[in-house]
Amino acid sequence: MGKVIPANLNNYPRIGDRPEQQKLRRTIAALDRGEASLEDLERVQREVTREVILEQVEAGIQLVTDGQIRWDDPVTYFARSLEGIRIAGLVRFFDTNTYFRQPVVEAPVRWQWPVLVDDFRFAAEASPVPVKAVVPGPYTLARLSVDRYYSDLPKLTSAYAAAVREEIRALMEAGAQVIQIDEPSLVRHRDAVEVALPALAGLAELERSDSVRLGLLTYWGTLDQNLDRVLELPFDFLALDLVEGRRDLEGLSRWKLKGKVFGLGLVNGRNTKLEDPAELAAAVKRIQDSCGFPWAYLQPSCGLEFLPRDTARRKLEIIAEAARLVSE
Amino acid sequence: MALLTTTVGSFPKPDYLVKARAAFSRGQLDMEELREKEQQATRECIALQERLGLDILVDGEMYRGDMATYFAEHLDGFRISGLVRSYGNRYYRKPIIVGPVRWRGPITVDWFRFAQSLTPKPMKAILTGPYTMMDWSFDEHYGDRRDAALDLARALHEEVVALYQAGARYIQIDEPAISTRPEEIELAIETMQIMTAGLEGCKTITHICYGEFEKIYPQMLRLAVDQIDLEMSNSGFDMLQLFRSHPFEKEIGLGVIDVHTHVIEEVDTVVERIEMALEVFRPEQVYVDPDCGLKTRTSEEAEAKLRVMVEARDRVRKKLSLA
Repeated sequence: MGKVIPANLNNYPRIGDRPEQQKLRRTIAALDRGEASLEDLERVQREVTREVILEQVEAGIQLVTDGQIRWDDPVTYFARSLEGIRIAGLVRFFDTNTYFRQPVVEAPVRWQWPVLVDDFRFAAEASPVPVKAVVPGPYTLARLSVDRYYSDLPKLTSAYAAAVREEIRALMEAGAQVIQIDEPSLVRHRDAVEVALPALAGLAELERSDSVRLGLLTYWGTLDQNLDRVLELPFDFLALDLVEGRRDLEGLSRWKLKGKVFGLGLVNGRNTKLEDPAELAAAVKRIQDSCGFPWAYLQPSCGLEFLPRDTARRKLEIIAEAARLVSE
Repeated sequence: MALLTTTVGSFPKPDYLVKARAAFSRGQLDMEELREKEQQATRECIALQERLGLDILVDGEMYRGDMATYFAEHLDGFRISGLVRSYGNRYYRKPIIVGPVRWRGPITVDWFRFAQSLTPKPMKAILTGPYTMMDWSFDEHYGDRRDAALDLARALHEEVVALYQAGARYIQIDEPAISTRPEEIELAIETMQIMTAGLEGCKTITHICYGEFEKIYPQMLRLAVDQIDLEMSNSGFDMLQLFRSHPFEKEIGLGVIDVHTHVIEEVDTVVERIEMALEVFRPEQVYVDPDCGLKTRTSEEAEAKLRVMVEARDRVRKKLSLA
């Protein structure tokens, strides 16, 4: 039986319902009123990052993230640092009731400085278990941007990929051992693989030490006929949403015993209904039987920020419990 | 009457009401005191609309927080979640469906009656539609989007009938989520059929926010309403091209004011927007309104924007010698 590691995916609720879990919200509001300073915000962001890391660890998660506490949204935090980009108005993030600010590409896209490295270093120091670094994927960045410069989706994707590559290199230099590239747009467009594949192949082939695991994540849909082509890329793992994309389970069996490592997104990250750990463990075992993975991550189907904090924590506990049941 | 003016529903809450709501949620203010403030704000909102010369009024939704959560709080089968983030530092409580959704009694009818008693002008009754309620809720009960949406439609239809019986002759069903999942347009059509059944002599309207209209047009014309209200200015009136390709046979609520910006439009800009639309629509098909609810603007901005809108409408009417 391959090992199953309970993992968090990317973001995590930054506030909760208890008063002591509201400090980030209160500090940002105070900053807006001119009653708090940027230093106050920095201090609170650090505190909250530490708290959400410990919360993941306490829940039994063995691969945590920094919760993306500083991220305005899944796009802007990285995109706003790039040359050639202006950040514009609010746009709905896929089919959610949440928003992101849309990047407008006005000149050649160029990476300038590492955005995520300090966050990674801080999280790694704060965490007793390994921390995964997460970067936005080039195809999703391109799809969610207004392109006023390249007027060509493959070219823009490739320009973003060059920037993402520099960020990944910087993360590896800082000691990141698990790095995940988030590509939700990959499951939303028919031509996704044609357009994204060359750029993603470039990233998958990035030179790295044997200890580094560089993987790809999709969520909120299925890869269907594109699954095989994505699995051919030399990433170290492929993380899938097996709630909304459960159709992909069938395709995974074609890769039985080929050494592929999967992130199994079996816990619904956007519904409060709690999974049963025993049923979850049984589902993992069925996948293990059909795919024969050497090892896998068990994780939420999408970021947990779409849930209330208490529910998010319960979901992580369920993941940890199911992983334990699988290993029994 | 051609080119009647209206609004989409929400108005900015005055400071005293924002403070009262916060005090209420902390337990420092009782329901009765909060209700008084809500009524005061509703009175002021209706007086403002009369002063501006709008034709079809709204109650301003002073008593509502989140548009889905408000209705969920008053229906059976819902629980309200802890806080989740919508953007930046904004959080809201999201509905959770935990049992069969049922109407347990009038939700907005008293507010409709109160608002209508304050003005001789027609008052539009507005509620959040079943498709959007389903899409914006967690579902721990149905496990099937269609089942949830159909039960919601049956429950909310009872509210629609109660509003109709209370005298509402303009009923607007807000369905902002329709344009975010084009693959579910047939479900939205099915639920709207339930919502607007049996309303003789009543003008039915649906408001849909900007989204992938090219994927749901012309199917969206099969939504069982007299009027579709659309966010037009935010999208640079791109949709007119679509409407040229296949005639838009319904009435249109024409969003001519961008609600997402602090900038107050020039009258000429709004005149141009109305005239552009009149290349595609007959004047009696068109209702002039802002893109969306005004609750995120300041009171001053909302008033200034609406003043520009009414003036622009008056100019177009004059130019075209419309009554």
